[in-house]
Amino acid sequence: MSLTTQYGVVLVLYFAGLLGLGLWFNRRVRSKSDYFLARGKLGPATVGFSFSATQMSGSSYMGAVGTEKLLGYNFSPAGVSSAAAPWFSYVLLGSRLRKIAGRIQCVTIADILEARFYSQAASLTATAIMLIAFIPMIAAQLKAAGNVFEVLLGMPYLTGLFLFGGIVILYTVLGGMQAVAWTDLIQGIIMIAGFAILAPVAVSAAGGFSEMHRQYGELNPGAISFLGKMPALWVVSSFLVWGFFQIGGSPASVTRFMIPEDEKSLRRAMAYSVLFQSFIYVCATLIAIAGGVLLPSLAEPDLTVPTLVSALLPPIVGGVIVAAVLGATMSTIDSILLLAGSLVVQNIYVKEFGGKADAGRGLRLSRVTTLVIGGLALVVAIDPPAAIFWIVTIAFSLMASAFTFPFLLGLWWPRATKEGGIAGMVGGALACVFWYVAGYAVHGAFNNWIGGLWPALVGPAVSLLCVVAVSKITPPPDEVLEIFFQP
Amino acid sequence: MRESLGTRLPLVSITLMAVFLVGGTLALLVDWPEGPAHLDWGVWLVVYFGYVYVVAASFFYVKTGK
Repeated sequence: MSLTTQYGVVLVLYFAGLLGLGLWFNRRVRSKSDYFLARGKLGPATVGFSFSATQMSGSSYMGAVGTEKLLGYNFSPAGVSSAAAPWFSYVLLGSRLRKIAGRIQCVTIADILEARFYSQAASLTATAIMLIAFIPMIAAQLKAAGNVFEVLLGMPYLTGLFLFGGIVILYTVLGGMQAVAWTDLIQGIIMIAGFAILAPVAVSAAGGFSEMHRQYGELNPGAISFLGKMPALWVVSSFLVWGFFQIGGSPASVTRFMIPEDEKSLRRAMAYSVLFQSFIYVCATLIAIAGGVLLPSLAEPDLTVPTLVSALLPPIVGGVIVAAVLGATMSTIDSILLLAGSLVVQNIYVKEFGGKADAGRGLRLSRVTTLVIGGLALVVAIDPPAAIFWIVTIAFSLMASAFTFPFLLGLWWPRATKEGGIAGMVGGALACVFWYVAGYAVHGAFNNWIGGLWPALVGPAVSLLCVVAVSKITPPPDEVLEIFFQP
Repeated sequence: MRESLGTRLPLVSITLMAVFLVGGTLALLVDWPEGPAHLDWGVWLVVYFGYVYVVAASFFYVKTGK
């Protein structure tokens, strides 16, 4: 049996399993709320893995390992920070968000903003920013998957794209949050197994931990420590951005906080998330450094993982690891897709246009919306702009800038007002876009910013200033204090 | 019955987060001496010990809620 056939067999079995899961949960979903949130129906491991699998996309697995192969330990602090992202998010946002979501019985994160800032304008602003960011994000993930099919299976890009995209959209449409969260758990376990096999094999092939670092330091002397390849401000920015600012930058993950019905389950979910992400990022660093030694002249660094897999592992094991990478891509797409669908149905159709969405009709509408959004992203992914991976980073920065401080201050600071919340979202988003445009005007690229300072640091700083300053000069929000701040 | 919201910030965890962010940032800017396995002590501290710190701090919150 050829290598391609063996990869193909593993992937077909894997995808069949996912579709089966979608069909299984299809029969258990009864309402719109069940479909989008499944409150109280998922355990801590499922919630924790789903949070993390949503945050760590497949393109970032391949991209992060590729970038770390080139930049070495200049980039590794971003990995540690990413592993800390669930810690920041659960502690500062999760506990309070879960309790308030239970009090107001909401479906989406925009519902929380609407209740806290007592304004549909707040919810619509948040919905608009998220939807603008989501379509290119889904399209980029689909493109990454299409490329994996192209490289490993020799399949034409469009065939791989539609096969992969069709499966992920189908099981999301059929099974909703329960299917999404359970597939995230399975995919997370496969990711752990895959990296647990690849990391020691790659380090050993590179001569062992110490010898590997000696060789890497000779081949890439500026990358064996924190500074040498990139400016200090770039290294520091990436350390700060990828951890703390995931609070606002990853609303699809944050939605998971609304699922558990008790505090103990939420905290246990955090333990799963932190352990999962820490393990993956430690392995990613080791694989990247080993890749730098074993594949010093690889033309396309993002292909470090699949190239090491095909060089070092038997095809069946390699197929599992490739399935894991595709699984990471899927778990990001399905979660974003589900959140986008819930925003359109709940925050635009029902609340803005007064649409009727009883259990049956709401469920049908949710599925059709999810299908349409998935289809749109698929169309964008057919011929995406060359800079689409930078559009993903811009989308993350945009949401981190718009939401981090309106979420945090909205939940913890009683004095935050409607005007302050909206000003924080709009001001943060505009500042972020401005900083990208200014960087492009000066350096001619979206990945080179003025002074090396990330837009995802500038935007939130402006947002914080806007929330505080505007809240101070506008009347205090008496009507929401009871729900959000009375014990 | 509606669940109590609690009004107190998890101050110990917030302090640990500040130590992680400020300490980590400062550690990135120091010129560290070489340590074991051809890596400098800064890499050992921020990258490898950093994961241990994050896991330990998270478990502290899981256990205490503080």
